[in-house]
Amino acid sequence: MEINEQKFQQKKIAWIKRRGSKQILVGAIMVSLILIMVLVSVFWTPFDPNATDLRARNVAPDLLQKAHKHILGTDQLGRDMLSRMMTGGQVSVMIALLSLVGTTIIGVVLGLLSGFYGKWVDSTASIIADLRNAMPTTLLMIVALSILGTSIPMLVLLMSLVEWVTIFRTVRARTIVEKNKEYVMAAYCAGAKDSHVIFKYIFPNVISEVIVLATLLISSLVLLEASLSFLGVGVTRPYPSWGRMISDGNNYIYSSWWISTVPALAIAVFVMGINFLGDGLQKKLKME
Amino acid sequence: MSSAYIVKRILRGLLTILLAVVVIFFLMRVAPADPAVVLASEDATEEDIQAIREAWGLDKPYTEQFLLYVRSLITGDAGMSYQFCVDKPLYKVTELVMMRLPNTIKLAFTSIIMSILMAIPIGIVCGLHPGSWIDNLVTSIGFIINAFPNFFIGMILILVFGLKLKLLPTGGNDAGFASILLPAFTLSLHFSVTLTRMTRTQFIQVMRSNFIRTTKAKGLDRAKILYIHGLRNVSIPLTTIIGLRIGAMLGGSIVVETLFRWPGLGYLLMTSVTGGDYPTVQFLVPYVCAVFVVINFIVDMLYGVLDPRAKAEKKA
Repeated sequence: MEINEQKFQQKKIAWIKRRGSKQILVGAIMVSLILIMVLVSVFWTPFDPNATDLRARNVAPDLLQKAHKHILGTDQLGRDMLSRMMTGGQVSVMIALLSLVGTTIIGVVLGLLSGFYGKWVDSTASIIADLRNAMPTTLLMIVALSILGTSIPMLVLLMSLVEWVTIFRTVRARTIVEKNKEYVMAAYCAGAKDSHVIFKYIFPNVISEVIVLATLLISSLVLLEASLSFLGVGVTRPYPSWGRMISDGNNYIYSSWWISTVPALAIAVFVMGINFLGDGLQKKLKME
Repeated sequence: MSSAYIVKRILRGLLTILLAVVVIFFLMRVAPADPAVVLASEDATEEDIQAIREAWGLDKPYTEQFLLYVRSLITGDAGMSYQFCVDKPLYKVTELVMMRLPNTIKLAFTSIIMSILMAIPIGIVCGLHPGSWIDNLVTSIGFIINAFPNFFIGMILILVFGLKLKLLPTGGNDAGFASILLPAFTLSLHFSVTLTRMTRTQFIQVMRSNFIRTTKAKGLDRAKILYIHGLRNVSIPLTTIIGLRIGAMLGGSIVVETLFRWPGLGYLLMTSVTGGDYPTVQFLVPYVCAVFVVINFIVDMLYGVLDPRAKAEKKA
């Protein structure tokens, strides 16, 4: 009976792992599809993304290129949707990744320090995290961006301040566990300094969890950027971004649904891929 | 729930609100545009601007301005709103907020009820048959919904139900109950996904627990096991996230309200921000923050009442 139970558990773990790997694979394919498209657009796009063609306005998508050369159609100014979607990705992905870096740095550094030193460092950091959780951050961000004026660096800065709490809490909890382990003691005996122990010894042991959490955060950052651009406090006009494009298409949704739908699909494929990837990684990590 | 814990929570809540007040105060002061100039009409003379400055206390030192601001928040006398002006301001800020608040409450509760009606039955079915085709289908739909920004889903709903089928109004609040359906549904979608997932995992856990096995051994019928023993135990964590969601929504959902031009607090905030209506912004943001804090607090207290185990843990 007991052996059966054990076998069952092993089988279950193997099943979850397999499922996790499948998710990681599908997710990786979706994400790389988008990333390759965005990277290619730096060097080449089928049309100039900002070139208007007034004779070919609001042309419907034509996947087989029978009637015209615009595979995904054109927008209200006759700009090629495929090219714009590719270049729009540059801004959206760049903002998401840069603010992810900011978020991760804040979460990891605060988490390591408060987990390691405890006492007042810990209580201060924990209060800050609680305050952040109790604040309607998106609201404050919208107000801040519209009062201070929006620019890409400002957007990245403010978006970095939003989602760091989950990373902070995880890193803090793990650091508290890790700092009492023998290897930390050994490092001290070998004459290591605090900073060396924290960043060279403890940090590598928490990094896998940080990577999983950070992966999942990318999707909420992409969606946040889209919402802000939709409200008109995100990316400003000369740069196309996916959110900006969806918002521009809102006025033409009745006659030309594809103007909003094309960038929305790009966001969806990217976000879904990231979610699969993060979910799969999380499953694998839990089973280890 | 010890009284020390309650006091600590209240203090922390007050600190949060104070922080929001300070942030808004400084944001308004470091703004590149002079608020007096923004408030004045385009052909205002230097004296007009000076008059506005004096009327708003903008010529006083910052500490005094801050105290005046805090007093205005407490007394609720936040001055006139600079929206909807004909010759002179029409509404007091507080009047405007009170006019818009019922709409936001209506929208919040309609959308939460929609979420509950959709998510909990679906979550229970998935939780009873994890790994079945219906479970996989629901999970996939959830992944798809979560991948789209909610305003895009709203736009598609407007296109289909408002513009093509002409069944529902595309925005505003003039058509009675029909006009709340699309914004409420749009708002409920992402939360429904979360709630379904939560119900599902909770149900899987509860159905595996010893006391459910006991009820089965006793020979209770399935419905009783599900609704009395199962649902009751699942209800506690669900209450928490539903409560927090209410807190988040009473501030008004800026994106969805703006998309549907729903006359609630979120849309009001957006028009105040873009229209330079600083008195309203200054009043509304701390208010929203306070609602958020208070609901958080209530949910935390309720948690202790609903689940005696949580009470015991916090005491220990």
